Order: sequence, then structure tokens, then C-alpha cells
Amino acid sequence: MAGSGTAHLGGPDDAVLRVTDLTVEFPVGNTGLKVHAVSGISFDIRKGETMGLVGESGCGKSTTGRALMQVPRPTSGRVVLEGEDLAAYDRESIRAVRARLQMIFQDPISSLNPRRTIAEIVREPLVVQWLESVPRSPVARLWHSLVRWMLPLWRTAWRFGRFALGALLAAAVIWIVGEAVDVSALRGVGVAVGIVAGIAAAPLALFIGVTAAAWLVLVLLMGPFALARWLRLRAGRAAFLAEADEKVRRALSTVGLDPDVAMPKRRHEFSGGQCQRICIARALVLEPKLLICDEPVSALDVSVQAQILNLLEDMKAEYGLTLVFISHDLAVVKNVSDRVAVMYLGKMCEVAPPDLIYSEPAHPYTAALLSAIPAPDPTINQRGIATISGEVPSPVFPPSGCRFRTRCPRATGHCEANEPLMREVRTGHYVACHFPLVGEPAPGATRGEDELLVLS
Amino acid sequence: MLEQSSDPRTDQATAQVLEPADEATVPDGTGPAERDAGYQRRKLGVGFWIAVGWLAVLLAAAILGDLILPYGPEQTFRAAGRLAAPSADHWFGTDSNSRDVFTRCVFATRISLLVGVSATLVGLVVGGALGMIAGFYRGTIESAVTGALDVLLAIPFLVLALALLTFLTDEQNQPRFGNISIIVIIALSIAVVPSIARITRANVLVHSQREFVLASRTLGTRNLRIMVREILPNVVPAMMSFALLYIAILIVVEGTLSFLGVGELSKPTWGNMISFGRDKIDDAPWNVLFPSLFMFLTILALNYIGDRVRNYFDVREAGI
Repeated sequence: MAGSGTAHLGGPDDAVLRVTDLTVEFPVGNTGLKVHAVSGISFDIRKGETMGLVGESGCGKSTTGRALMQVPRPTSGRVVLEGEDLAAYDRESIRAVRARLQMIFQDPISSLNPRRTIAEIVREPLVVQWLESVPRSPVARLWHSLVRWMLPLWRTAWRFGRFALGALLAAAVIWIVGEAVDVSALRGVGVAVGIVAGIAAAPLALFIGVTAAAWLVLVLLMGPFALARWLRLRAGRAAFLAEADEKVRRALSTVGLDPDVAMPKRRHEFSGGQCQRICIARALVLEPKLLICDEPVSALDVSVQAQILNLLEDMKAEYGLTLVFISHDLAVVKNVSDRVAVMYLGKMCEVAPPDLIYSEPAHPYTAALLSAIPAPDPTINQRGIATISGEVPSPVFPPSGCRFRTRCPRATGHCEANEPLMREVRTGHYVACHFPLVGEPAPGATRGEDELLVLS
Repeated sequence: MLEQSSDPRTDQATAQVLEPADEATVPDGTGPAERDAGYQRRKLGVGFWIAVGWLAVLLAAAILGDLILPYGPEQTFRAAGRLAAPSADHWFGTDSNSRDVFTRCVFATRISLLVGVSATLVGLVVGGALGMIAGFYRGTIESAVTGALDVLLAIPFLVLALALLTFLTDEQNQPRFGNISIIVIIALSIAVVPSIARITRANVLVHSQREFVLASRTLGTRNLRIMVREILPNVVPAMMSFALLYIAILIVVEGTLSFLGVGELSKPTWGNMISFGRDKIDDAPWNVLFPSLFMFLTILALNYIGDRVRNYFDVREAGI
């Protein structure tokens, strides 16, 4: 299970968002090792669809959501939003696309700034777009690119130059000691070392000096340019604020809050459900095409969860949204999704409509996930139901072949050697497993003679 | 869903109304618990106004000293004599040069407060910026900034200030540029920068991991705006309480520097009055007592104001 492949992607044209081979890796300190948070997952979302993304904690669901938002940027892969590949864009081009792509977060309270009023918070996306609409001066752009250039260059210069600087310091110490004990030979050594170190350090000093001077000149020049830009912004400010106020009010009333009451308040005056409504209003104020919901109801109590889910359904209809719904709550995902994708350890296991997946899971991991749902029936012995055992392997050293094989009751030597690819086991039901619970085993996937065929 | 929220006018009104008497006129649109919490937070209290009053009187007297005080700070009184006890003519007595201690206490406010406040302000701006950059960008920039600050922090505060002051003045204790107060301010603010930068960085580190910063990033907000609009308002309270503490510390340090014979010696400051009065503390305790009292009351007032203001603007973090 838990494999790669793109067989489950639809035709080229009908997707709002198409993700291919998305990979996100984080370095582990300075060890050179990597956390393989997301390893080559692919999926696409058609217009108006809700894609549920489920999996246990640490499987890379939220990392996927953030990689779609390009915060942080994915290590590799393509994130194509309406024909534009975000992963290939530079930082400046992405800013223009952000209005079409919004996100709401798991903790609604923490994702609102406690010191800003609700009016300011919901207006912020509009303000950011407005600020971007007035271009920054060429000087400021030059300064930004210089800084981005300079830092790695300085780091390299420092790596070589620090020895020269160290020698210079040593020369000074030798010279001072020589002066103190009044031995001219020692003073001579100090001067000699100093001259050699000085010559060695000169290129570094020159380099840092020149770049620092350029930086300073740009900083000084930036002042007047920034003032001119500020005046331009100032001139349009009243009109913008009036327009923004209207949009903020509309967004707040569509999520069911009274704008007059809510706008001057701060987040601590609201409950968790109200905070999530505010977050939704903030995400919707720009009228995005795609909304990524990262566990939007996990932090809320059950009665409020239903309200928020219904609100998301309403918003979806009203704004024509396409949703990515990330959650570990299988029941919630079943209710809201048109298609469900199951993830395990950074890989995609199974993609299918919820009816198929919940009634007849094809992937052993999905089956285990579903059997772990508590049954509201005291006569059922939960412990008696076979689930998977063991721990999730470390994403720093993921297993070879199928990533689920270490815990899979059906795994064989074949699973260790070959990574399963996504394939269709029945109409609309895609699975990455050599020996799925539904349909035929993958072509070429055979069990060794000495391996027991364990079928539950 | 909104049953617990109040009329928005209530919040605006209470935010501006400071006297308790006017609170009764605020329209009551809230549940009792919510209203009480709101009022408790918005009360500054009598102590706050006493502290503000003390500072206002002190500042007015210091600024208008030449007009409203009968004596000058350097004027000597042969008639009263040296180290005269407090009397109707000389409320706080006279010092060893027969100068009026009360007048000098009032005039000393100028230098003492100027040095304390402006050095702290410079330290706040520079240290705050450094701490913000170090905490926000992490990585190479952070290690460079914190490395440099750790070197400064390793030197004891007074020694660092003394070294800087000595470096910036010549052998005759004359400033190499500007005037001596500016030199003292520069030296003290350099000495303050590392501590403030540290406090700021620690707080920025915490707040830049919060989800509202992530939310702001997903909007495509530029780093400068995130720093100023999202993080700074959350960091300012910690910086302010620290800065108010440092105003007090710097007033004392300025006095210590005067006592050590560097810095401002020609004009009265609370610090140098205490330092010079110490020799005669047995014969004329008023020489030390009254400047100390002024310093004590001012520092108390500053700290109290800082505390009340912080409470006043504090927002509760918890919601659920």
C-alpha cells in the first residue's frame, strides 16, 4: 500500500487543482537526514468537489495542505491551480494567486491574533491584496534581491574569512603580550602574523564592505521612494476602506455573525465555534476558488462541529467553492466529501467516493482505520476486532517498497521489494496495494510459496 | 450564538471613560459576568492617577524650574551655611557647597529623567529591532545577532557602560563630540540593547510559531507587515514592562557613573547628588535622603504606571 502513481487522476481539463508527485521533506538538524513528510502524492479535485484527506496523526495530511498553500514550499512536484503551476512560480508571482487559494486552520482561536479586532482580522486579506496592487519601487525590489543574494554569499565568505580574522585576533594578542613583557621578537612575530592575516582577510573585508555599502545606499534611497508609495496608498485609502468595510460586513453576515456586534471585538470575546466562523469569513472575503480546511472542526465540541460543517456546505454552494477537507475524523469526512483519499506515512493509499471506501475498503490500512471507529454498542467487544498492531515507522527512515508493509497483515516479500502503484480496482475506486481486499492482486504480485496466505 | 456579546457601543464607551462615576451611564446590554470582567480590565484606579500626577508635577517643575523656583541650582547661600538643616528658607537644607537641595532635586529631574528615558527608548528601538529580526528570521541572521549580543551580555552592565563612557570621553572627562548627556545616553543605550533584544527575541520566537502568523503567511503578507502588525502588538507588553524597569535602573546607573567620576558632573542629577552627599551622611542625611526620595517616588510611579497600563490593555488569551 501506500504507493505512488497517477492512474487515479482524471482528464487534463476538469480539475481545479491537480497535484502531481508532491514531495515535502524537512532536514533533521545538521545531520543530512530528512523527514519524508510527504513523498510523491498525486490527486486532483474537480470544480465544486469536496476532497476528504484522512489518515492518522503524522501521516502528512496537514503538511500536504500547507504545501498546497506554498507555506512552506514543496520540495518537488507540481501544484497546478487552474492551469498555473504554483510550485514553479517565484515568491512574487505566488502573491497574485493567493487570493484564489485560502485556508482555515485546526485551532480557530490560535489562528486569530488576540490583539487585533475582528474587523481588522477579516479585512487583512483585502489589505494585503490592496498593498500589492500598488507596485513597490524598483529600489525596494533591488534591495530585496540584494539581501537574498547577500546572505548566502556572506555565509560563504565567512566560512573562509573567519580563519583570517582569527589569525588577526591572534596577532593582536601576540603583539600585546610582546608589548607587555617587552620582548621585541614577540612583537615582531605579532606584526608579521598580523600582516599575513590582514592580506588574507582583505578580500573578505572588501567584499563585505562593498556589499554593505550597496545595501546602505539602497536603504537610504528607499526612504523617499517608500514615502512616495505611502502617499499614493494614502490617497486611495478612504475609498479602499469603505469598499473593504462593505465586504467584511457581508462576509461576517454570511457566516452568521452580526457585523455591528462582532467587528469592534477581539477574539477572546468569542467561543470556539464563533472564532471558526470568523476564520471562515476571513478565508471567504477574497472569494477564493479553492478552500483548504485543515481539521476545521477537530478543536470544536460536537454540537458546534455540525454547525460549522453545515456552514461550510452553505458557503460551498454560495461561493462555488472547491474544498480540500483534511481530517482524522472518519465520520466527518464521510459526511462532507465527494471523494476520500487515505494517506499513510506520506503516501497515498486509496482514493474513492466515501460510499465505496466506507462499505468495502480495498486497502488493508483503510480497513484497519475503519475498524478502529468505536461502535456505539456495548455488546461488541472492541478489543476482539482485529486491527493493526505496531507503531508508525519513522518518516526519517521509511520502509522500502510499500510503506505499510511493516504493519500489514497481508504483506509479503513482494511488498518489500516493489512499491505499489495506484490502480483502479473497480469504477472510481483506486488503490495502491499489491493485494487489495477488493478486486484482483496487482499484475505480477505473487506470494512466495513459503508464505502463508492469511485472509481474514 | 451572540447572546453573550455586548452592544459595541459599550466597549467603545468604556474604553474612553476612565472615571468610575461615568460607568453607570453606559448602556447595559450584557450579561453580568461579561460586564464585570470588562469593567475590571478597564479600570486604571486611583493609584494610577496619583502616579501620573506626581510625574506631571515633577516634569512641570523641572521644565519651568527657572521661572517658578526662587533659587538657581548653582546658587550658594553664605547666610545659611554649609550642610544647613531643612528650614523654611531651604526646605531640604543645603549641601556641602551651601546650595539649596530642594532646588537641585527639582533641576536634577531634567538630566536624570532625560538620560533614563531616552537611553531606554533608544535601547527599545535598536534592541527591539534586533530581537525581532533575530527571532523572526532564525538561521544565520539569528546566530549572528545573538552571538554579538551574547558578547555584550557577558560584560557586566556597569563595566560596559563605564568602558563605553570612558571611550567616548577624553582624559579631562570632556565629551569627544556633542555634550556629555548625549554621550551618557549613547553609552547607556548600548549597554541596554542586549537585554531588551533578548527579551524581544524570546517573545518573538513564541509568537512567530502561532497559527495566526501562519494564517497571515498564507495570505501572502510580507514579512515586514507580519512583524509589525501580527507579532509586535503581542510582544510590546513584555518589552514595555521590561523597559520601564530599565528606566529606573538607568537612573541609578547614571548616579553610579557620576559617583565614579565619569559622566555628568557639572549639573545636578539625583545620582550625583546622592553620591556626593554620601560623605556627609552622618552630619547631613538630608543631602542623600531627598534626592533618594525623589528617585524612589519617580521609579515607583513609573513602575506602577507600567503595571496598570499593561493590565489595562491586556487581553485574555483563553477563549474556550
